[in-house]
Amino acid sequence: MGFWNAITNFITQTIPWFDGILASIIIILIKAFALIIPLMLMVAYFTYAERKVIGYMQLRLGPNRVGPKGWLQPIADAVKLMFKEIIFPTKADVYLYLLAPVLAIAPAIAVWAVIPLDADLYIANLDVSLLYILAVGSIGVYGIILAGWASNSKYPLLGALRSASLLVSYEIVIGFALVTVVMIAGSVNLNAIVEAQKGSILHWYWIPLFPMMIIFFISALVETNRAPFDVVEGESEIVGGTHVEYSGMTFAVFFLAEYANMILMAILAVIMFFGGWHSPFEGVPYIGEFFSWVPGLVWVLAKATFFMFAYLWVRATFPRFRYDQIMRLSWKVFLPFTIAWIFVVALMTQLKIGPWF
Amino acid sequence: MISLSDYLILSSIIFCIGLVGIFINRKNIITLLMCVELILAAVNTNFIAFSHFLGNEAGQIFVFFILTVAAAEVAIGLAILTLMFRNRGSIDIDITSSLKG
Amino acid sequence: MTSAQILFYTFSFFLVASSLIMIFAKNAAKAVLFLVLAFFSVAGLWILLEAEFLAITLILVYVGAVMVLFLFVIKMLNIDKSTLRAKFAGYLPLGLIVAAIIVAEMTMVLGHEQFGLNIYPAPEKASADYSNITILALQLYTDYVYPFELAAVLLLIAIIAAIALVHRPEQNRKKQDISEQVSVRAKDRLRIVSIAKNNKEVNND
Repeated sequence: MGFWNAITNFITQTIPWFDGILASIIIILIKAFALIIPLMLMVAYFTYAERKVIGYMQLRLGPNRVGPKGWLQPIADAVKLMFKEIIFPTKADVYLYLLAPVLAIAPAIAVWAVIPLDADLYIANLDVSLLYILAVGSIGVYGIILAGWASNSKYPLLGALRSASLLVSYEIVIGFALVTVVMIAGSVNLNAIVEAQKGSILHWYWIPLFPMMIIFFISALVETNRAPFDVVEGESEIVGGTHVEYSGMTFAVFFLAEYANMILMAILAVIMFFGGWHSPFEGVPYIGEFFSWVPGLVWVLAKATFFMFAYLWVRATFPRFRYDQIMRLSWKVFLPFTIAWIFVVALMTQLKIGPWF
Repeated sequence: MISLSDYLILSSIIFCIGLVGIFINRKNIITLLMCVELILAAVNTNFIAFSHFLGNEAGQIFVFFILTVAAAEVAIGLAILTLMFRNRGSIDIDITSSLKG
Repeated sequence: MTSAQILFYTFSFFLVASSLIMIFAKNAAKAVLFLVLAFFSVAGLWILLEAEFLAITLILVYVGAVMVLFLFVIKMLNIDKSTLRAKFAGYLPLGLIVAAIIVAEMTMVLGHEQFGLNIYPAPEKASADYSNITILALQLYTDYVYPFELAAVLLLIAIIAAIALVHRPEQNRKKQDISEQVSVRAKDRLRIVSIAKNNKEVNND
């Protein structure tokens, strides 16, 4: 944390009348902005990437008018959404109606506080950071439920009911899938989990926990309401689900939250199963040393990009699941399988198979 | 510094708010259940405050079990409530006085 | 005022205010939301007491699951608000009297004379390598392993009981039978009739 200490010293020295509390609050605010602004830029260009990738998959060009090769398209979208009118439905509960997008985006950003992007690049190093992610992530469901409730409209309510049951069911699956990681790493601290995967690409947990990784990825699709599990907003069934009535910036905030969650889930998959900031060439003679100068942040983002691409890939490939099929997948397929795999992992841990335990 | 009695007085206030809630919402089972949750939160705060100030983790273990039992209680309570609404069309607590069906 | 005191009084204020709003709320959904705020404040207080595992469990279990269940039930049931508030005023004085007596008694018992700083001094702040979850886990899996197993069984019973209570046997449910759908032949569904050539005759029918 040498970098942060330098900033802290700079602030406390330049403004000497600050006492400890005020200085630390300012440091925390600077850190938060240093995280949120790149995150929001990533979200903006992720939407651009989505439209381009799906465009090429469907033999189209995607956005290509605003700026060179359409690079300014996300900016244009953002400006358009900001200047649009925010419409309030008749008899909508105005306070809850405005609270819903806030409740959607607040946990989506708060979760990032404990995500380690490099060995010493994080805002907080909580002892129970994995539990913190699960807990704060579970608050996101309130945004969708309240949006459906406060809109005073049929389709949002249906979408909200669908999403509430889906999110709660798949949280259990994600929890059980991550229990296996915790069993192997012996810690619920994300930094410790990544450190436990040190060694080489074979030390990462994707080999012993390959089925869990698949289940985690599919559950992450459901948690973020992505195709093919986007029954919450399924256009062809319930118009636009929870955000039928939302317009302008309130609508955009829901999408910011959704894309921030997608990036989060991709990075979480990297931390849990793909060795976090460790280089894939680690432990390989010559090549490992050749790549040793690359910062961990680059590896995390490079690995996460694959998962983010997989999100778009899946969206362009599969037709939408029916609601009862998704529920069946969770309770009758994933949950028994993850519980069974917990026993397998317990056995592997006892017998000390492979380099992971 | 915050002393032990500050936490205890706070949790006794919360306990009493939960109690008043049970008195004034006695016809609505959903709010009754929520008031019970509030009372349990007050009790749990007591346990944790004692555990922290006495340096004994047994209090936190107790809270862990209380959380478990309370979650089970809510699940079954809401199931009964749904059943009651389905059979009687109301969740008014007065209708539970009739024993038939 | 230290930062811990500022936090304590902020959380306490939000806790008391949101629980008061909760018990007087007319709308059950709003009551749930204020209870959520109350739980957040309680979790903050628990973190001040260095019980971060339980604080996060409270958010995870209560805010993330139990309160969602409450909201879900409130939305599913069409509750008539007016009848539920009918006797509101009648019970308020009695409740207030009981509450006032309890608060007075508790404050007398729990006041600074009995439980003050002189008797139980605030413990030292835990060191940076103190791990609340490790200590709790060590206790749970050694001394309290039987209660722990019993709690797990209790939760299982609760799951089964809740499902058994609300589950309705299938009646009039429309289900797809895929093999039946696949084995359909055209002649089962389609009848080819020859229509008379004379249009007038058809129209008269």
